[in-house]
Amino acid sequence: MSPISSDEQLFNDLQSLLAEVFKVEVSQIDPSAQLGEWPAWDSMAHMDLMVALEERFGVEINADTISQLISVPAILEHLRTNLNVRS
Amino acid sequence: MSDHKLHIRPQILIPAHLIGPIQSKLAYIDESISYAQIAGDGSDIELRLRNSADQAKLADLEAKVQSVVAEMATGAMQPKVEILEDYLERSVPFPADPVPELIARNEVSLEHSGIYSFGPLVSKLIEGFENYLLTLASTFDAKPHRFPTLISAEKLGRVNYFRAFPHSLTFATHLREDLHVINDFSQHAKYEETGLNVSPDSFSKIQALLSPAVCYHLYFSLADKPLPGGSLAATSVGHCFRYESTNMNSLERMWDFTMREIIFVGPADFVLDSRESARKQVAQFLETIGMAYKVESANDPFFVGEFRKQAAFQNAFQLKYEVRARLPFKDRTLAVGSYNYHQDFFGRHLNITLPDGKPTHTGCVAFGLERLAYAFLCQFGLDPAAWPAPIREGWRG
Repeated sequence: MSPISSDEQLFNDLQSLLAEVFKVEVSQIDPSAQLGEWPAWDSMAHMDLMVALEERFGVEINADTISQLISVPAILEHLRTNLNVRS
Repeated sequence: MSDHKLHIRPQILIPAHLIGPIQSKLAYIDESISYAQIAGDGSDIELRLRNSADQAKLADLEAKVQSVVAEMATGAMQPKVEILEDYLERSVPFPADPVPELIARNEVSLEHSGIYSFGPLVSKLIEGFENYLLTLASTFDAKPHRFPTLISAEKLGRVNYFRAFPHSLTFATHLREDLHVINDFSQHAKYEETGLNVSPDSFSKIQALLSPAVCYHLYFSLADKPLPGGSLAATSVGHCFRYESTNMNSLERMWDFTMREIIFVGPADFVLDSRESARKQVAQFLETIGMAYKVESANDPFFVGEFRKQAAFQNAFQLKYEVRARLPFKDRTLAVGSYNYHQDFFGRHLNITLPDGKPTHTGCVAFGLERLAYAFLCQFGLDPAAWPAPIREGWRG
């Protein structure tokens, strides 16, 4: 896991991860996307995303985070808080 | 019982919450296994085999076991157990196992592994529960439906059923349209020790299965069009088929059972409010008759590869709660019903749309009628005079 030094880098890293998990181009990642409102983000893709977040960013994934990290803004906020990223 | 035992130390210590799910899957991993038991501390797996096995076979069995454990337990999350109702300590009058007496009276008859017939006492009891569930359905103005016992293989595939529950499927087939095949079958078919002596080549490709659930038929009937009226409630009863291999060793696990469902289709709040209302009404019913039970979060029995993610998703979003009745004679509980919310899974996969064009949400309340009757008999015995009056009188509402 490489260190994340800025908010912009965090967003870029997350965008790349989302594109990889959902098998779409980075440009297709909507910054406000959320589970269920975007065809690629269904229940199975959501669990793949949780595993990928754990592996890429080292965040703990449990029942609470699975049900809370359901949008790009929510994931960004969680990562900012837990990785202590400078905004 | 076989004397061919094999002990395997799992490479990953099996956590307590996965002992049941993994143990039940071991029945499916090899036809030579007649029994599987995981030690309470998760450190040992005992297999009993139907016949002796050479070293190569033993190595193959161990590899299968280790792969199941690895897939289901690696990185598994501790589930959040939510108990919505807990009346397990409610006093009930009957302490014994009712099955020997039920068999002696021909109230329960084992036709084949997992296949049972029931006599007049059990049938009347089930009718009483059915009357109650129909009363419950009427509070939602749930419309009656009749669904087939067969279910389309094409439609089941469309909702990813084969990926999630391949182990429990029951296939329907027929002889191929071929004079030689049919003549050969009619002259030579006979039941041998483990089944009919027919070549698999004699059978057609699978187009239909025996239905594993009731509500799927409703969703299939609504597919590829807007949901009429924007929401609906429906109810139906039907035979359901879930093959459970060597786990089918009692009335608790039947291959063929009947389920009454009340089904909700519409926006998320309609489905969730209806599910919650049904749960509260059923709680009143169970209090009235005095059953000992609890309602707690649960997950479906997904097969090995799907289990970890799907179960965690169900748990995190509180999609399934089970009504677990106490079986006093063995101090364990048995799931007799469930309250389910599928989010927009069926709406999305079957293209059932709300007036705003978004996929519909679905949910259902489902009770296994034989299990409900069995749990009741475990708690109240076989003498109707000792039963709660509403049940004795067949629950007229």
